[in-house]
Amino acid sequence: MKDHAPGITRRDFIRGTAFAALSTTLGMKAAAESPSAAAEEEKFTSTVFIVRDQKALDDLHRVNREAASEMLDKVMCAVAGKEDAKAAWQTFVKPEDTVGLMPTSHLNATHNEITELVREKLTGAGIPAKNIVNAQGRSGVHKTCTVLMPLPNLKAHWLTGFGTVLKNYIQLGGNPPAYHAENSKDLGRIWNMPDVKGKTKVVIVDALRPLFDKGPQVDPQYLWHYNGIIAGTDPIAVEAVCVKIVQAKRNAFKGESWPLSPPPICLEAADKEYHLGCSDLAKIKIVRMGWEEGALV
Amino acid sequence: MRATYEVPREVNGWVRTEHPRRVTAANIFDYMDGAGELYLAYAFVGLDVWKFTRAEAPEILVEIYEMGNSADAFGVLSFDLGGEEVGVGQKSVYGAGLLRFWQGRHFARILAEAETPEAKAALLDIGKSVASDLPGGGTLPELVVRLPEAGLLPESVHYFHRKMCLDYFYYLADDNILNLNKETNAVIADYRTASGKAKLLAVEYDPGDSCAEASRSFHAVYLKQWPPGDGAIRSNEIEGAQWVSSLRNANLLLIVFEGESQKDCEELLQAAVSSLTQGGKGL
Repeated sequence: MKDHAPGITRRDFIRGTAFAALSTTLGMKAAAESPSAAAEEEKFTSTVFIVRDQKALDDLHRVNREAASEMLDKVMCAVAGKEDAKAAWQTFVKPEDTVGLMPTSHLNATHNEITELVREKLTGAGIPAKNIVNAQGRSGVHKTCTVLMPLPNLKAHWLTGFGTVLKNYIQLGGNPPAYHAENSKDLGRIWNMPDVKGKTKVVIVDALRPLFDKGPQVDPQYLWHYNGIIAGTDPIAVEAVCVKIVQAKRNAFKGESWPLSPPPICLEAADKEYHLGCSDLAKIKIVRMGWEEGALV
Repeated sequence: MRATYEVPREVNGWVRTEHPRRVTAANIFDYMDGAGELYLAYAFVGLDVWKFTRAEAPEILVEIYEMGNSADAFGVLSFDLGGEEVGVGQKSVYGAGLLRFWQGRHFARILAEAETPEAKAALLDIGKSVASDLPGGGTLPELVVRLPEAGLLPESVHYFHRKMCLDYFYYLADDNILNLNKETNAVIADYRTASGKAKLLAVEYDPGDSCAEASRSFHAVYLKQWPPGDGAIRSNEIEGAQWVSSLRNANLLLIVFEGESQKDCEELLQAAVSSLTQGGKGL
């Protein structure tokens, strides 16, 4: 932590003098700026797609596989700009690729149905089954992959503030505790490691039943049925939208501002220091599809 | 020393695994990567894990944490005191299929995969059975007992030692500007004040210069000023029309954050120093 911006305090977030975009997303800035005309007209640099279906989960939180399959096809068509689902998947993978799936493996894990559906979609798009592997963990499997496909579950994290897209690769860094607490700022470094860099073509977030506090150990009072899948080609933009959704849910839950704590400083650092994508919501276009109630963004 | 207590073999048709999985500090990250730090931030000794299953019913996970002392067992519970008191152990909270309680040197966490009336009844029965067999006699941390009572929002009380916990309860800075460590005892809690709400942080340091050094560090980094002398209150208005007031009394550092007026902050500080040094009645 000492090699960058020493002495950051809560007051810097309130002033917006550090991590300004993040301060805005979390609602920590003292005087929230209303969007200026210039900001409204600013050119979007990234697009994030959200698809939701009220039928995606039942009362016992079981996944409706048919609904989830349709959601995946819909969101991938939107991300790829294709009419046909198979063609959409083929935008990001080729038959000669080895695809490493990166689900959240435990503690509020990615729903198995989502991981298995992605596997089916990939085989349907012409990727041989043997070329689709689980690359999560510290086995080094990711090194043999030509494409890495993050499939994280959406969740807050008590040590890093947030634990979804950026943290999805923490095992690939070889030493997870080295990226916890204040050191979580450097999670973006892992994405630039030689065996990782450039392999992420699309990010797909399981937002069916996210966790908005106390992650990763699950406290079900902080789980809710969002019934969504969030996807995009810019991992940082996807993360920023996910943070916004969780932050909005927290505020609604308490009926007052309840900023994620500690602030997920990895988000803006991934943008400004590691140049992995756009963290500024003002520059991210959000496209919503399907169920609108409770979209939160 | 392993605790000796019984976990029932069968409750309302749910049957438990024969033997518990034993988790220690050496393998806690294999069991809960990314979550073990919480327990290691307190005096964690070990954890026993059982699963209860019943056909066509949600699985129930039972985790019994053994801590080195009862104050830290309560501390783990105080990570979140929000929920319904259901009368299990010395203090319990229940919500949405998760029962957590504290008794003596133990903290328990019993989770139903999905909340159904039957699963809730079963996990409460399991909790009551385990609690009846766990050694009792736990005492609340002194700092918690001595919190001023007036205006206290009980669910907001958190007892802890380390910076990583404060970061979650109330992020203050990236550096450890209060010099928190495993030996410091700290409590943070919300209060209703005349004008609204405020947050009280109390940190107890070892005798010596630790408290004065922490006060210097806090004032230098957070308020960009020299600290007040021992026993003197210093108040500052900061961004967002918030007031911050602080007071050092021997080895006790008290800070009020997010006060809506100087008067609110200073009244809470005065109540706190009186209560914490002379014996109050918090929780």
